[in-house]
Amino acid sequence: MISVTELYALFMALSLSLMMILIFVTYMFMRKTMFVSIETVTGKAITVLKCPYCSYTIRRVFREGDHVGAVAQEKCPIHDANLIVSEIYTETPSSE
Amino acid sequence: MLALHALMVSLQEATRQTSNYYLYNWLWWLFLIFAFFIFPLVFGDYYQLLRLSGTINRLLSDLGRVLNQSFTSVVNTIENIVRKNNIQNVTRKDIESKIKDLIEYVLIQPTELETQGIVNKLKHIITLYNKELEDAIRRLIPVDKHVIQNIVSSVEALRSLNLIYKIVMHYYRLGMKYRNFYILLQIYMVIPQIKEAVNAISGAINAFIKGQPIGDSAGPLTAFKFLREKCESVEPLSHSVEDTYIARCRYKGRIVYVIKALGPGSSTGRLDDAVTYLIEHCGVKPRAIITVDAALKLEGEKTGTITEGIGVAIGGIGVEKFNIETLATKYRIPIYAVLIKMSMPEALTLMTKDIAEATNKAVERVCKIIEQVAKEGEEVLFIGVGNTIGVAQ
Repeated sequence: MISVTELYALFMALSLSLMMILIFVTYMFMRKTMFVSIETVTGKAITVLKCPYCSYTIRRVFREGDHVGAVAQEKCPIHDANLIVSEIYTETPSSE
Repeated sequence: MLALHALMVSLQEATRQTSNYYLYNWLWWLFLIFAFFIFPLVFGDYYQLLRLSGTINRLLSDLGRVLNQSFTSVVNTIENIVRKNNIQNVTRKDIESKIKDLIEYVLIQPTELETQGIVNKLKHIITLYNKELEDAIRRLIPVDKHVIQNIVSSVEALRSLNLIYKIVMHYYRLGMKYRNFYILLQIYMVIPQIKEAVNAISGAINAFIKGQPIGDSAGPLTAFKFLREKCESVEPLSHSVEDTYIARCRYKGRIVYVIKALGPGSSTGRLDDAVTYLIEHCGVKPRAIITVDAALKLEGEKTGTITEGIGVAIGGIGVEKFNIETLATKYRIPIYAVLIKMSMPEALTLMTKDIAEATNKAVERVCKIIEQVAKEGEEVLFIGVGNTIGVAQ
């Protein structure tokens, strides 16, 4: 037979557990928006250079003044032609 | 429930046996009643107000920090241009004061009481607004047009950030003034979207300052790749349409007119004027108008997915879309769209590798459509829609 003290302790434990569950659920619900922080997205820009006559391609870090279609200083080892900037992008993974 | 009831009854019976237990039990019940009934009823609203105001306050301080950082980077960029070009009589104070004025510059939409001719009115106002912004920056720093266009776009982005900050502040102050948590709740509910938009806009400012292509440049990049990789005998046309590039080329015997904004400055061009110029002034009779543009993806869709469809793929207020649709309907020209899917932050920030690679697929789709709709010797219009920042021709 369960004693009065044990019953009382059981009841208190149940109530406390319920309260803790409630606090935990409230915290889980709130934390997504409560601890919101704004971060500036900065990705490293890559410039892709392509030979206008063949498929020779190189990649380098973006430099000021680069734009798609610009003639770069680098040359194609096969045709000795100045490479053209064909793409500028960041390799930061896209959000799914 | 029965078990719980039995437990309660036996507990009450048991606690009656001793006065101490009775007292503890009574106190415990009082606490529970207060905690779960009285407190939520009486102080619920006040607690919610405290919780929401704390969160929104934190959001506001974050927004203020991003706004200040972005403002400083725009001012620093202009200061560097001033130094590099040795422009006299322009101090940092002048730059700051001019940018602050431009951030508060407003565009008042035409009245919608009488809708007839509203598109032309809207176009007139937007053209004037863009021209005024460009002139204001040109007066401050008389440099190359593409540099001015990039600064103008940065200022536009700053203006959006400032507007978001002011709206959030407005609702916060209003909620606190009337001690009404429902007013704060409106902002609280859209915090994730606000956060995403602010991240995207601050990323856009970085890209505009450096002149790097953004996700929205996918359309002009597709046009560029089509001209460079697929076309023969490319011939740029001389015309009077501002900020727009028009070229004629041959693709497998078909005559293709490629239209895009004139790069590499930040501009979306006047694509509708270019279409009007070609069809009504040059007498071009296209078998189809193909538009390629960035489109917002839904959550779960993959970035860089290509979708084809019917219609004019142009975003924004809708003036250009309306004008091209009107022309296409007038001359019964089929309109095809190729969309490159991306999220809003991806559309506004530095172009990702997935989007750059997707433009290659978009070029292939455009080639396929041209081959299907036009025979050799027939004409097609291809429009690369979007901001051409960092993409020349």
